[in-house]
Amino acid sequence: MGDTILLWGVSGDPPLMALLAELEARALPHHFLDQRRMHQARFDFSADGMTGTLSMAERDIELAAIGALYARPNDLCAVMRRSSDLAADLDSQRSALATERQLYAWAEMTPARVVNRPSAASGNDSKPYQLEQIHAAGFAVPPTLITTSPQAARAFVAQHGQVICKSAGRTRSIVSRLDSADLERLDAVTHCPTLLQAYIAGRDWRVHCIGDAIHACEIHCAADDYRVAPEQGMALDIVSAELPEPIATRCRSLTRRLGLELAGIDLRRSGDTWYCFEVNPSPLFTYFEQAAGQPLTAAVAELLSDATYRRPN
Amino acid sequence: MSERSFLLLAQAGDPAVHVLRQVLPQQLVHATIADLSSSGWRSVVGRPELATAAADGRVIRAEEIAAVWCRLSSITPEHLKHLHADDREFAAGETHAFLRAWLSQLGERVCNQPNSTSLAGPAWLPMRWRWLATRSGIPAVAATAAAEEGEALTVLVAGRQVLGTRDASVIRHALRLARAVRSTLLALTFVKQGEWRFASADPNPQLDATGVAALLEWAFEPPLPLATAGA
Repeated sequence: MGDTILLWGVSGDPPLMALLAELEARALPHHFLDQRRMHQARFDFSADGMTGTLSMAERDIELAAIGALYARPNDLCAVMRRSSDLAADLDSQRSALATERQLYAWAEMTPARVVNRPSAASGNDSKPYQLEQIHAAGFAVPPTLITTSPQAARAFVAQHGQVICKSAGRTRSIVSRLDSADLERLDAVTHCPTLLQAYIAGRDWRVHCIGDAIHACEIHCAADDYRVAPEQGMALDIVSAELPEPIATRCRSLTRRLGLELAGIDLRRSGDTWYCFEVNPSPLFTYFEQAAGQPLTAAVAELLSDATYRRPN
Repeated sequence: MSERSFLLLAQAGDPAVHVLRQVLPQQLVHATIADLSSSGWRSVVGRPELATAAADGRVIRAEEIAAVWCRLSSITPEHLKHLHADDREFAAGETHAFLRAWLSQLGERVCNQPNSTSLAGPAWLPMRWRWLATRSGIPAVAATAAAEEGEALTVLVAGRQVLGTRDASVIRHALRLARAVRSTLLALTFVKQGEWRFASADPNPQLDATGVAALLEWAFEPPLPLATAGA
């Protein structure tokens, strides 16, 4: 296995751009497979499906030379729809989709370190599915119901009092507590499975688990969803902090259990209980790097360039 | 057989509905995509025994479900024409996410575990299947084109049975591959190239009467376990 690092995603994406700059500064061999140019890429696999060549616009890369892959792909169809060159070019779109499908398969098969393998990352596409895994890993999780039954939804609200509603799937949603108007609309859950979660009061933490390294920050904010606090005119302060060692150990264990190499873990401390809400397999780590002054890009670069990696069986 | 139900998640008009209805006129519950937008579905994190489904005009509790065969690989906006056009994309994502969690909670009662590629089991490129076969110690054809070079044999893993062959090596390979992907319903094609070599797999095959019988024998065994913590 070689020492070349392949980055896969869309140009302009902050974590990808930060990593590119970091790899260049460290003079580490790397290539960037930009999804905007996926239609120009080709895979030529040898018989075993493992070795072969990835041809990009200007160069050919031996797959055996790739020691690590950083995968942060966007929805390729959406990328192409937004591209003035590709939006009307159906042949190029088909070619790009076929190549990317092969890339997804190779990312599962390669012995190279993959941050993160798509199969492991996909757990986050279903929040209730991932919560089951988090629960099984020993973290407390908020009582969570997903239902099309108005009766079940009302019973859940009656049991837990303050309840939040958020997306169960990939769609990013703003987390907020249900108000009286929302409660009057609970009959609408019949049309679409709806995720309800007991509100847990407490202090948010974001933990980045990068290999075995833990970088935690504490989030001081009164909003239900700190990500939108500035837009709501609310104060937000993200500060580097140290996790209690048992919680750090649990975060490492959870990350490994989910098959991830890099994870952005959302915790909330409520009294003595640490709840885990979500594990983001493709975290926007540059946001927290800037906010809390943590060397996250460097840590990811070190993970990708670690020559001692051997894929677990 | 007990009075537990066999839940089939499939589009209206799927031939599997007719085949199963013939042998299970009472116990087959067919849930269509439209049924997923009706009252009664439920999943509670950490409590698989509280899962419910809604189909054929009734609500079915997890304990009443003997087995589930999901033939829906994904839920897309095009499937949700019964909803307002503006809502379809969001609802498709939410319904897909719900089904992945719901099916996972049903544990071993589900024929093929949902995964990142499909709700109906591993919808992989042939090269990934061949890679898995090789990793599992099963000889595989070198490439798709080579699959045409030699006598081909398609067998069906249904429950604990392998149908369509008496060859011991094929039976062993088929069961090993099915176990590797936690599948109880898998069509596998092998090609004779000196020895039988794995060529391709289909986790969502249509069944004939023999296949249905084998599947139902598995489904109506003593209750299969729901998902447990750590599964």
